[in-house]
Amino acid sequence: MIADSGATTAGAPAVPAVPTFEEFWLERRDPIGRALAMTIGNAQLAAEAVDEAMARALQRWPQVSEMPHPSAWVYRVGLNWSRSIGKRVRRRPPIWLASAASSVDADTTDPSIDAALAALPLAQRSVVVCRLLLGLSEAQTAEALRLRPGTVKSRLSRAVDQLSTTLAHLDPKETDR
Amino acid sequence: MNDLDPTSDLLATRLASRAGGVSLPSGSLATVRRRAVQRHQRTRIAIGVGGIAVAGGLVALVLADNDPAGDHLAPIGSTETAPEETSQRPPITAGPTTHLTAPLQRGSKGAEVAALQTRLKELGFDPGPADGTFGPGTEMAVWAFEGLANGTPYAMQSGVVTDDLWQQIQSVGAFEPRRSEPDDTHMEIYLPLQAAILFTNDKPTLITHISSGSGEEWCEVFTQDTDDLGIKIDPPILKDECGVSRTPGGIFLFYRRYPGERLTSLGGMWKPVYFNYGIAVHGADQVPRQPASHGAVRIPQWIADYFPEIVGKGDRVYVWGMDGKSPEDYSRDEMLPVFNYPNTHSTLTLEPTTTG
Repeated sequence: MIADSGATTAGAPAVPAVPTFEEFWLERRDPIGRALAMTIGNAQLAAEAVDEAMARALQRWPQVSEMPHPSAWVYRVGLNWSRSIGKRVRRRPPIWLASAASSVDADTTDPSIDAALAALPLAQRSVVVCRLLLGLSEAQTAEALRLRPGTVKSRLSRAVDQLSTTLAHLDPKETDR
Repeated sequence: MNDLDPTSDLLATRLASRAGGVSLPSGSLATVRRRAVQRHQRTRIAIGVGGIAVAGGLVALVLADNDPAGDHLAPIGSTETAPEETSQRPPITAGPTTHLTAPLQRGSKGAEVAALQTRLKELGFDPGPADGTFGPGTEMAVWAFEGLANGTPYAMQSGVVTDDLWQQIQSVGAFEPRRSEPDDTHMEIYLPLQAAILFTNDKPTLITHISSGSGEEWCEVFTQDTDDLGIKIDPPILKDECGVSRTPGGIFLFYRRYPGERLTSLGGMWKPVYFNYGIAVHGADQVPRQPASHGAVRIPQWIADYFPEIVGKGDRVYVWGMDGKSPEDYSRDEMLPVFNYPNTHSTLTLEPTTTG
């Protein structure tokens, strides 16, 4: 390992090293967990979902690590798992994150963001989270959510329109700073 | 890479800020590894020894429990859950109100202890009366807090309230359910934390430390007046039996409760509320930090006094198992308790003897 890295630092072609599962977990567990929480509206279930998805990633890490965007895969698996949990026991739709607003820093977030997100259909919310929070490209989002790129584009545009209308009251304050 | 228009870009900033404020429960690599091994075993049992599983769920269960593959796993509470492997909850930023002069623990007395007890009650714990004395009830509540707020496995819960922990106790928001039932009462039992929360309309109405099945085999002579379905046996019978002290994970319903004490194959139970054959949530004198029961879920006596009044028949019970699986991931067979079997080395003479 050490000898290898010494050799490659001199060479030009920067082949990105495939991270170990441990490295991937350390770096991505919380961001993906948060993205899931923002999608399904339940931080507790999101934590379980990301752990389950990470366990599945660990089982087939050689394949998953070779994917162009392993985070996208983990996000999708976590999202599907959390939705299957909702289906297995007949239950009302979950409460949105806002119920835990007491533990949220009121200076940096506005409760209306939660309300605005909760008002979106899940199909749009998952696109918003992939594109705007996980920073995936249109193609990567399409791949992660098994959608056509055109669908990603139209869902995002509709969701952004709705969100920026709902959250218009936040704009002046933010842009003047 | 950034192909976003300004409107979306601004939204992205807002979302990132909101996501940073989500109090995501921390995770550990050990949890992920345990889940991965569980998944592996499930696949293998389903394919490999399906015949046995059909022939007798009990055999399959015991096999699964003693599976050598499981030996490579860290026990739930082992120190292998190294602190550096634990992802951090975001800092809680509400302003601290008071600071402790010294850490509080068993034996501490005074106004600071009373403030701690009052705050724990506010959050939904029941440490007993807020009398300013840090007794066993307060210690149990602190154990449960450490588990629920920080994901600390039971074996690493200290029962000591440092100033850091006190700041957290003061500023933490209401505990959230892992499964949402907005119009109902449900209980969530987290075996790796040895803690449980009763939620009504998704708000915590009771948070308590528990002591569940230890996972060990036991053989005992005992008097039984209640059978494995929680039904009265009259007159009581003397038995010499063995069993495995296992509390299975899964999803159950509370189905029967009894006022007063019951002598069962899982031991003496104060005001039991049954949810899985003979397994009940019940009061006990001893509710140690570690799993110590014969399979039932022990709670402190003073909580058991009113517990049957605050749950209803048909309320759901979600049990997260020691093996790190989610309640939904247990098969019907896995959810069965291990029923007792006769002690083959019994030397029982039918003298009326009772053991606890």
